[in-house]
Amino acid sequence: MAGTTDQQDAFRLEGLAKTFYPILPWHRHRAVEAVRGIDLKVPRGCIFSLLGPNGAGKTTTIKIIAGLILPTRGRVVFYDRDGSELRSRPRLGAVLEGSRNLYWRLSPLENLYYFGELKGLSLTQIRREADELLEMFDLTKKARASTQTLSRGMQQKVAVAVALLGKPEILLLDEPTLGLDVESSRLIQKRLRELVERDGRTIILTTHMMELAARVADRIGILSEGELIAEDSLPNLVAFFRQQNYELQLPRSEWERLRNDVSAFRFTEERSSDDEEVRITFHLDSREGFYKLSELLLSRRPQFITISQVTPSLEDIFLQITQHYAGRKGDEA
Amino acid sequence: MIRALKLFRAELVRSVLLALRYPIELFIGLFIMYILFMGLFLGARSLVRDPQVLSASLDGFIISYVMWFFVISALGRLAHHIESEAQMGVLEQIFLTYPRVLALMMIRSAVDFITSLLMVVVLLVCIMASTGKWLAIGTGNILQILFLLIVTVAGIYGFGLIFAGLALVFKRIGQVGTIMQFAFFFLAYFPAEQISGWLKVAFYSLPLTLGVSLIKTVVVEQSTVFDGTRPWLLLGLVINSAVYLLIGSAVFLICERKSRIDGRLGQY
Ligand SMILES: Nc1ncnc2c1ncn2[C@@H]1O[C@H](COP(=O)(O)OP(=O)(O)OP(=O)(O)O)[C@@H](O)[C@H]1O
Ligand SMILES: [Mg+2]
Repeated sequence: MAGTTDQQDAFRLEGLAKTFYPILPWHRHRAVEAVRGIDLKVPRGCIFSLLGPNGAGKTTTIKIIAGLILPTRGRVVFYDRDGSELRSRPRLGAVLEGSRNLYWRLSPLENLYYFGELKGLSLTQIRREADELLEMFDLTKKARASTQTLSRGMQQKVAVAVALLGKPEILLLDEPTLGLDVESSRLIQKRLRELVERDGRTIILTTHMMELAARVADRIGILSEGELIAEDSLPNLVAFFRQQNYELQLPRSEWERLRNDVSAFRFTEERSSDDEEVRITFHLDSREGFYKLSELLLSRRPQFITISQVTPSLEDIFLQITQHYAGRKGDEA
Repeated sequence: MIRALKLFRAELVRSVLLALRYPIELFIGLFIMYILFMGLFLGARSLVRDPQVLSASLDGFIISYVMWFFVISALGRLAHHIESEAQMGVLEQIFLTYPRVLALMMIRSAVDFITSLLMVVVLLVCIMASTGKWLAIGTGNILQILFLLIVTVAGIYGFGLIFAGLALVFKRIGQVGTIMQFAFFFLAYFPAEQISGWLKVAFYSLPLTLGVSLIKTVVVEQSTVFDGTRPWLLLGLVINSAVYLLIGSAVFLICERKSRIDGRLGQY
């Protein structure tokens, strides 16, 4: 798995913040703080996945990186391959609104030509790359059909192909597999992986699909209400949360006896179908929490059936972080 | 420069392809402009009984009308494209791919001018055939006319840029554009030659007026403005258009920045 610290950075976000103000000055109190100070290093040659609930600020962050939205504070710094800071934004590829990033009345090939010329590629270069890309995304047969007659998945693949024209170092994808069937989604994932592994490109993608992020991402950042509340490689996140999640299985009668004593801890409970047993998962903030919990439980001498560390899925981690974070916010308020 | 030519080619191909996909739109547009002209023409003929007077003023009438045709496209086309591209979602892709958007807008204006010119030729032939009035346009004055036309219309594209900028920020501005078209209709037809003094200078500093009157000098009076006897007229025209183009560019840049601040290039 990639994502170690000795890798060079492709770019960094430094104290990035964005507040949207309504157009009318007397509506200023309705300002939305979409991003609230993000610091982040994204290493070159990795797939970085931004996760977060609706409205967390993922799209805003990606568009700031793309230069389509100007930040209120902070900046994005890009580096070239030998690590020196670039003066301006390098060429980026992006799919921001899925298939809507295309001219629907033009064919995939015509879209490729138009955007290729906007990028300043020569016609021969475009011809070569277009052939390659159409092949790569299994679109050769549809190259000359009107884009609006293609299926949603194909349109999406065309949009990714357009973004890849001119071999941009950094690729920004906002929900690239939204509404795709498994096959198209897999094909896109496979191609993205190749781009990263073979050419050392850097890909930032947002998604709501945890399995997707878990499968393709080298690093994961979790955004909530405009703040980056966790950022690490998936194995590290899992290892970290393994230490924090413990599962107990015990008879219901036992649990009723213990329940009040452990009310200071956060846990979720689940009953077995015959209602005889319960399964409790404790979510602890730290190792300390684990010692405290064990002491407490031992002093009560319950008849344990099992106690085990849980290996959380990315989804568990995501829910735990965002809920915990929302809870903390609530306490502050 | 080569880059600009390539962009020009890309934009030309794109707009021709899009127009050919929906040729009906093109035809209907031309047809309406033709019908509207014939309506105006027949109306005028019923008012002006004297055929000699009518014939004498018909050249000017046709020229003003044709200039107004250019105005309609120059004022609204850029903004219209921006509105629909923002709605499609393709606008962000364009901004991302070619961040010097003002330059791109200028190139689009040039492409738009050429397509308008082709349509005007068709419209003009239809109008002249229907009225039996053939304008004196020939090899002798065609270059002068083209020069005056390009410079005059460039000023109108300045207003086009303003509307394009407003479309970036406010999205729906089609209505304002329509109202402006009528203001320009007035400017195209106002007989500025007949007023004098400071009022005339003031009038000539508006867009379109000076250019239309110079084109009339060349076509109707069969005279020339390029013989150096009245250099201030040509200079005035160039300055007039340059100023409006500059104002348009400045407004566009401000609006572009504003829309990047508000995050309004996409659907939001
Ligand atoms: N252009 C804009 N003007 C005003 N507010 C905006 C704008 N764009 C986003 N917002 C607001 O900023 C917040 C973050 O939005 P953003 O689109 O970045 O979230 P997201 O994480 O992409 O959500 P989703 O998962 O729904 O796509 C939201 O409250 C949204 O309403
Ligand atoms: Mg989003």
